[in-house]
Amino acid sequence: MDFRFTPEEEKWKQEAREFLKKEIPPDYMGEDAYDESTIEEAIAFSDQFRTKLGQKDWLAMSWPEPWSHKRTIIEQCIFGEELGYALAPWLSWGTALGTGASVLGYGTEEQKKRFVPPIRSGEQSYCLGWTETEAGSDMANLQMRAVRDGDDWVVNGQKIFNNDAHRVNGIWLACRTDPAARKHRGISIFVVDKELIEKGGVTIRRMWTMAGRTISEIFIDDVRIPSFNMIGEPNQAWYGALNNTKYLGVGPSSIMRTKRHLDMLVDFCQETKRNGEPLGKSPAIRNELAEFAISVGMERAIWWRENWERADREMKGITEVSRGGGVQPLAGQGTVLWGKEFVPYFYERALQMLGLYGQLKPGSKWAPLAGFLEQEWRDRPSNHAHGTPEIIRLVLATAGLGLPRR
Amino acid sequence: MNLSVTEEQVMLKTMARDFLEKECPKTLVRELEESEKGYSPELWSKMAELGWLGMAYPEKYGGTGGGILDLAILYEEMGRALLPSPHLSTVVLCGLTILAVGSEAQKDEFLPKIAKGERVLALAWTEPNGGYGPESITVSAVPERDEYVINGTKLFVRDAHIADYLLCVARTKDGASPEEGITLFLVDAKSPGISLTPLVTTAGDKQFEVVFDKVRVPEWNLVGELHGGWSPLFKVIEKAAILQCAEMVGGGQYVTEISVDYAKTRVQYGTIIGVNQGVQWKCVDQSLIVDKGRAITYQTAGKIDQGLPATADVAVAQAFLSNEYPRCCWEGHQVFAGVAFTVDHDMQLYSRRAQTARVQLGDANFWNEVLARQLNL
Repeated sequence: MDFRFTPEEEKWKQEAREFLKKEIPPDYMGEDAYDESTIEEAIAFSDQFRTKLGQKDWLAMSWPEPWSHKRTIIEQCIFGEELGYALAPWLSWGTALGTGASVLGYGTEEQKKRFVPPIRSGEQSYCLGWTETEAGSDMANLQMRAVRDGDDWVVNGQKIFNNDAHRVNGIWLACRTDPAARKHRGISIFVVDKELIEKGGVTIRRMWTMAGRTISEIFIDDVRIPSFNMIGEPNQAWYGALNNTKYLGVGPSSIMRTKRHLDMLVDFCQETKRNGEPLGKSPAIRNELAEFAISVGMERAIWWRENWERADREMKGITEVSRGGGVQPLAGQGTVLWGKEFVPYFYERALQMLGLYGQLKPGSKWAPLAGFLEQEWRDRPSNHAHGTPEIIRLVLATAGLGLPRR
Repeated sequence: MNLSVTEEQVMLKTMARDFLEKECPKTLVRELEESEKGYSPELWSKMAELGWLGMAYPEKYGGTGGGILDLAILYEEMGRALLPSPHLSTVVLCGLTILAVGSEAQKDEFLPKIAKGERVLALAWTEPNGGYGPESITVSAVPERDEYVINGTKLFVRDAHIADYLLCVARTKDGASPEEGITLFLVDAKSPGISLTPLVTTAGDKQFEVVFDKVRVPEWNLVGELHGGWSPLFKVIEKAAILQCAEMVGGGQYVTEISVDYAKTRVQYGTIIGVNQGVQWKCVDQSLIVDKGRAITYQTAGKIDQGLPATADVAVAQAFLSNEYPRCCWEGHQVFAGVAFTVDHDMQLYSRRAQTARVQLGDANFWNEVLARQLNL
């Protein structure tokens, strides 16, 4: 066992750190720290950050040449941890990378040439256009219709709970193209890029969550999508482009984001006194802070292990992982579940430490740490996004452990 | 032993439920959250007419001679409806303190007006140090001829902006122990030297920073014994805490009902989501929290009415619900997932308000400590 990085990897880490130190202000609290009056500013900063990453060709590190400058998984992990700890913005390019990865996996050469470079450069961003009111956890239940008309597909319908639709210029859109086929078998996926959106028919409505964050609804009225924009064969998306993981990279480490928040909380407990003594001296608080640090440390260890295993498989040319009878690779699902269960628990307990002060929102007088913990608390119910913890447990139990399905 | 409620109490519950369903719909709750006042004076008058404001005062002060258990039944319904009102501040925290240790003149002056809905009061207790115990009281009251001069900052004072009077918990001397030397003063809210700054809270409830800058208060306004205010105040805080527990139980009951209802109707993967064990377990947890919470709350309220020692029970109830009521709301969010995290849904009205209840009258750590001392740890 050797946990050391190579000298090249150390150099890369320093380079990443210096870049982030330059581009991210020291008091930056993340791309979600906005309110109604500052949201446009926050979006502009995220866009600018994405552009800077694109200029350095650091957006799509997992794509093969000539589509991007590919870096090793370990290098991606190093970068991911730095991004996470810096609370760097990524919402406006995370989905775009998934879109690009699917185009690389299932698109024609022409499609790759047209759609991949603008993502690589940061010019084109995407949001997911998958969820509908009746298709949440059960995504295959989606109803948005795409009807063939000549060389186009005419699309009508509504999507909801779309993360960041109002801050991107493209949609990775899943539609039902065969209403007669059984659920999973009638779904296709389209790239709806800037050019298409500018033609009209797409309306976005911003919704506010209880955490003061935004999500959106997308209304699509008679939009004509050229068949060139469909990735993969009609009705095959569920088995291909929608569930593609081959070119997906590591991305920012949400574990390190939580670690950053924990470190801020620890500093706060060291500096803040209650009745003459620092909060950190309280046995109850010390005990709990220690437990958080243990959980974060453990998760980080598992994350490195799983990514290392993936790097090792890649090196040996093994492309699929089969575990417990399931074909879908389960690596990373455990960490995803941690993000949905432990992280909300962490904010719940952190507020408990703040007592009366835990009620104060960002912007309130007396709000500790600019109220960010209170806002994170309010954001806990967004833990359902991209899979509820219960569904993940179901997948872990059935596909992972081979337990029977209902 | 008899753990039942009377027929009158059952009627009280039914009447309160019907009244609040009609007079306090969620549209009003949302409207009042956005408003500066945060409560409806019209609704407050109606509550006075129903006898809800004088419920625990003797008849000679305009009340109906009820007990904490009666109030608990009312509070459960108020919690279910998310009724925004200064009842806890006015009727309980300040009113019951005046009733317990106020002079006859003070009782005559304040209690009947409170019962009629003509006066709103707010308790100025906690301070920037964030503690709840007597050692946390640093706002000072210094005697000067026939007045006292109050200086210092109170924080998290609920309803300060609509209060006619503030009941200020101040330190009049440094005694041998922190309890000794705390005195209660009724301060006219219009006194020169008082300044209010609103706090912005998760629940959108109206809490304030209240700064006392050389505020002069006549001797007459001293409530109870000079230097002896802590003990009677804390007994009232215990009563307020158990009523707040009842409020949480009421909220929890509603949250559980809507979560179970959703689990029985929402269809995904071609079937009702309630078929899934993960969802079922959450609903079970929610209903156990409500049932257990209700049991401890009512039993403790009953003990208080009987004059039996109840501090340990109050501590158990509040510490339990401080953590478990928010968890009940959390499980509700888990069952609802996407549909309930935007502001349009009612679920988040409950989960956000749980954040006030869990800390306002002592957080779980504080009550754990109270319990530990009761157990001689």
